[in-house]
Amino acid sequence: MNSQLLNLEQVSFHYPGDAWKLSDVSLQVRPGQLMGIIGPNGAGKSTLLKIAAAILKPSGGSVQLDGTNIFSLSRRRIADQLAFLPQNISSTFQYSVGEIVAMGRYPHLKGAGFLTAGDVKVIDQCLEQTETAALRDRMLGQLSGGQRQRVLLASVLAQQPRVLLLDEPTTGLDLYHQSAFFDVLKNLNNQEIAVAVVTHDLNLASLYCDDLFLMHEGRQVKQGRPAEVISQDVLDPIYRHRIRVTRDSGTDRPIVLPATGNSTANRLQEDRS
Amino acid sequence: MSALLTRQQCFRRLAAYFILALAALLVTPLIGSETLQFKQILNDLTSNQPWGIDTEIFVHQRLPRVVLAFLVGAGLAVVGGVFQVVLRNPLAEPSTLGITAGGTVGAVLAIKLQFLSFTLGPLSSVQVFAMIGSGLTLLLIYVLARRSDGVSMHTLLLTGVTIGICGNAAILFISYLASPNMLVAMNRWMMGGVDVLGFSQLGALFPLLLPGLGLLFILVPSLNHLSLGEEMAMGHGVNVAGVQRVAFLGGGLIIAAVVSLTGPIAFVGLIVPHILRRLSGYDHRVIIPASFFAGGAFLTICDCLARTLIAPTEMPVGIITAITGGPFFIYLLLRRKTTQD
Repeated sequence: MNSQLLNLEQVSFHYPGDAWKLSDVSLQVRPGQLMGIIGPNGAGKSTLLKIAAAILKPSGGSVQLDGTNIFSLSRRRIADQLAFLPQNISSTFQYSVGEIVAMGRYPHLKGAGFLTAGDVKVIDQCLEQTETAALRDRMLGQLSGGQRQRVLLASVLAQQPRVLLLDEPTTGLDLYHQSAFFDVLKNLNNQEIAVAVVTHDLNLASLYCDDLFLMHEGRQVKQGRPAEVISQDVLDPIYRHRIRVTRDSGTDRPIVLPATGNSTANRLQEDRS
Repeated sequence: MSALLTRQQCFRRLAAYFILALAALLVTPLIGSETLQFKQILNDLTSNQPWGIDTEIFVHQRLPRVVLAFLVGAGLAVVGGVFQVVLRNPLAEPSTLGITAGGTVGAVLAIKLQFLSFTLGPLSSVQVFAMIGSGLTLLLIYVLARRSDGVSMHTLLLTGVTIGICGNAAILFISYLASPNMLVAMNRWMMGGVDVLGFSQLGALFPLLLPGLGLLFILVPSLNHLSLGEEMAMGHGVNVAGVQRVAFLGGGLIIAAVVSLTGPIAFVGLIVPHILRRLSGYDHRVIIPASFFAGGAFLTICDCLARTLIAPTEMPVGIITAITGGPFFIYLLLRRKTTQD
């Protein structure tokens, strides 16, 4: 057993015909850890997550899943241990919630892929865990954004992964559904699942994640506890003085507010002087 | 559907389509411009007496034709069902990738170049040229859409559509140069037909059709996942690049076999899988095998209508598939709309 379930070492990547590149990024995620990957648009967060999930192959560096080179494993073997929830899932055909969640059992099924009683039990548990059991017979296309994301989470949880990677799972959700979604992720920590989540919401990341991984323009900037990463000094150059870091009195964790035009101008002035 | 189907539920649903296919295979050979007596055929086949005229027609004409219609319908419907998932396009059908157009170019070229006329075993030069045309098109599309990590479905679709357009232009050009007699032959071929001469021609279908069907059936457990997109499917553990390659190869083999023997038969590959999805849900572990049975039964029945509606003359089966399948599909769409309203 490796203490780092997922280990990315000095990973580089570039898209053909594009000047942008991901340079020498190293990321480790351990069992029971909720890791938030944050950074502005174009930082390379989603690209990094796709490399971690072996969707993209890096041009340099290595990706180890529990000590094994992930690219030496078959897709089914990877999915047996690692689940990946991409952004913007759309279905060509109308599947029910029950069907979508059942699809997550794929890496465990044999032959033609028929469910056993054990599989049905796991599916029921995942529906309960994500509070989507009541939606079982509804069609995915008929659900609200929050319901839909929880159903897709249930589908990847049905893989019974040891590592869970999520790419902006709460984008477009209201505050209730955002916090409800992260509550589910937080509960996964108790099951010793390693979770890495890409998010633009610095407050959710600060309040829920054990550790944060800050990226900017294809490079890693800082990794550490939320209090170490969410600070005015660290975030100012990256968000170009457009944020103001304060502290949540309830949790004593840092939270980030958008800076108004005046306060930004004042801070820029202070920086110059 | 509250979850993916269990083995029993799958088989129960497939049983209905299997019975439909069996019924079509048993009944339609008896129907035609000459209605055959089942009792007499049974007596002839179980005794050592010389066969009567009904049995001769049944064994040498109707049976190969019905079996061909069934296999062609089955193959086209399976290809359509798989392509609609893999290309993530509900309008995809066997002719989408241009292989049909490539085969048709070969066929009309063979008709135009009559001085090259030959036979290769049970196949005529038209069928051989159609097979070569389909095969070359398949190869060309694959080379153009190939990339290091598989086949680009986007490029495949665009290339296929473009080759289809170019193929149709080539068909027009060859037709323009053809004599009136040749034009009639070309038009008749392009309408599609399952009128084969005996079992030997039918046998020529198998070397391409059976491996093609085998390849596509291997993919059945993975297809539902591809409906959710490549990345989600990969996350679930599906080897997406492998599935795409096998789907293209398997589908290409079936289309090449079918087009070379029967000409283009439209609509079966488009509507049969959609009708089945309306009737039996979206689990492709049911839809693809059901497409085999229902597609086969559908074309068998359409061919039966084609040879009886204006007997003793026959209609091209492609006309019947469009006339019968189209309105039924629209009815299903409207029924669903009314239910949802």
